[in-house]
Amino acid sequence: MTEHPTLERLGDYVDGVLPATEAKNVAQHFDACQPCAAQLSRLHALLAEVAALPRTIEPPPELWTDLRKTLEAGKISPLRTPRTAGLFRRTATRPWVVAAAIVLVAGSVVFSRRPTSRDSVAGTPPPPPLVSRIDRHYGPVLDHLAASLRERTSATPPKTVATVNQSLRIVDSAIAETRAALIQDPDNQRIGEMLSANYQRKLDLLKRASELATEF
Amino acid sequence: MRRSAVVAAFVALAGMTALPSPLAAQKLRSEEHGRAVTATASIRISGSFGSLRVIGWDRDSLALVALVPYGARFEGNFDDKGPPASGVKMFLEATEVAAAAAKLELRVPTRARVWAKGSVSNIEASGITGGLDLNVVGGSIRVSGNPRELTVESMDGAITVTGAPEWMRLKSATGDITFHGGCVDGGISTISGAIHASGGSVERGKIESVTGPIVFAESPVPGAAIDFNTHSGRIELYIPRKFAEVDAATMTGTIENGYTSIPAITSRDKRGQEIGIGIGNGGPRYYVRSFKGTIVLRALTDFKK
Repeated sequence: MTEHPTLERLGDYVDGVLPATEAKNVAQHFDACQPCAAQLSRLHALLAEVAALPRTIEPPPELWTDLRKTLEAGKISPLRTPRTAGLFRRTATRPWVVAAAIVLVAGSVVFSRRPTSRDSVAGTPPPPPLVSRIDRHYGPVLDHLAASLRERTSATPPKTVATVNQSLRIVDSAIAETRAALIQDPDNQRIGEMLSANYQRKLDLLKRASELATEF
Repeated sequence: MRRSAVVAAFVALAGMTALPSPLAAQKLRSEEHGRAVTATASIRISGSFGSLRVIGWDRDSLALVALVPYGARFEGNFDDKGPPASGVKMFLEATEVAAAAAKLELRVPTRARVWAKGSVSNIEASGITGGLDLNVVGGSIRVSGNPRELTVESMDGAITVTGAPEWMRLKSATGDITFHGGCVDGGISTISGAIHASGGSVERGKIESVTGPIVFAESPVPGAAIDFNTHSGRIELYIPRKFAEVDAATMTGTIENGYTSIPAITSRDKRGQEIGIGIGNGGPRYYVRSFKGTIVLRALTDFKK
């Protein structure tokens, strides 16, 4: 009897990627070796079970309802440039919304447009890999949450708008600082952790604001 | 509703009528509701209300006393007869001005799970050992007791918890969070709000802020693991004398070590400071990270309440 095939060879055999002569030898081994034949059988059964699983699993309906709608509608887009920092800055079209916006602008930067730390500026080199990885990890979901919230500006109490924007400015400032430090020191894992932590806080804040906006 | 419950409701209603003067002009109507519920019923209340008191009591029933503005919609399945309900939902809909005058007092079985969400509300909860999930934009939230699960979220309202929840998550953006007590698994986070935790023991904890200062003077159990993370908030950490492992680093800030005589050293990247301390075996582990805030280490015995 030939020697028992390793797990790797067994996998290659099942996947049909072994050379013909080697596959023949392995097949002969299975005919003669009961334990290996049983293992092969288990592997086939496992693959059949995996194949029977659904390709996608729907999240619970109450989870990020609007985000889900956005995703299903295929509205996913790459990071936009230039980006704006204020959350609630949808263009007002109705007269009363315009009036409300004027009042808000007087005391805050809610509707102002200014680039965030993630904006790329023409002519500047791309950020180091660690920065890019962290940006990519959080960027899309942050953009979608922010966009979803902007659509509900008119339905959200002004005080909530002000509080969320005030907190966003603080978090964005922290993100900008840690991101700049990481660009200067691109292998510093500690700063990388801090940048991730700041992004996570922004994500938490937007999720909470989104939930509140849905409720009211 | 039993006679004692009716008396309690009457007393509560009488107390609630003493409204602050700006709200006194608001015309209010009183409502009383009650129904049988299971011991672990889920109670959901949402909408616009000025204040909400949730009280756990030793009865398998729900009693609600409310003062709501005329014109407000107050609906729910709180009056249904029949077998004890496993879930009760209610909501109050009123204009923002009118909502500020609305007052609700809710008595539920101690083991109930209560979910409340209000816009600008003051919420007080006491005597619940089941679950509490409280969420407001403004106003304040005060919880006392030992709920098994406690989630409190606020945007700019202050959060105060006194007790020993088993599992706890307290989150605020600009509001301060004060925790007096201990827990098995606790998470506290703010953006700019201050965090103050003291007076109990903790097994696992994660304390975070962006700019808010953190004061932590809990008594972690042996083997406990507590993580601190801030961008620029000052972290003041009170550590047990007998045993502890501390790994603290600030990228551009400083570390004041009043816990041992060992000074912090310049960090490996030559930017800020770091310090590693190990005293005794199997003590709590503190992992502290700050970008530019000051980290202060002191002995727990030096903590002044």
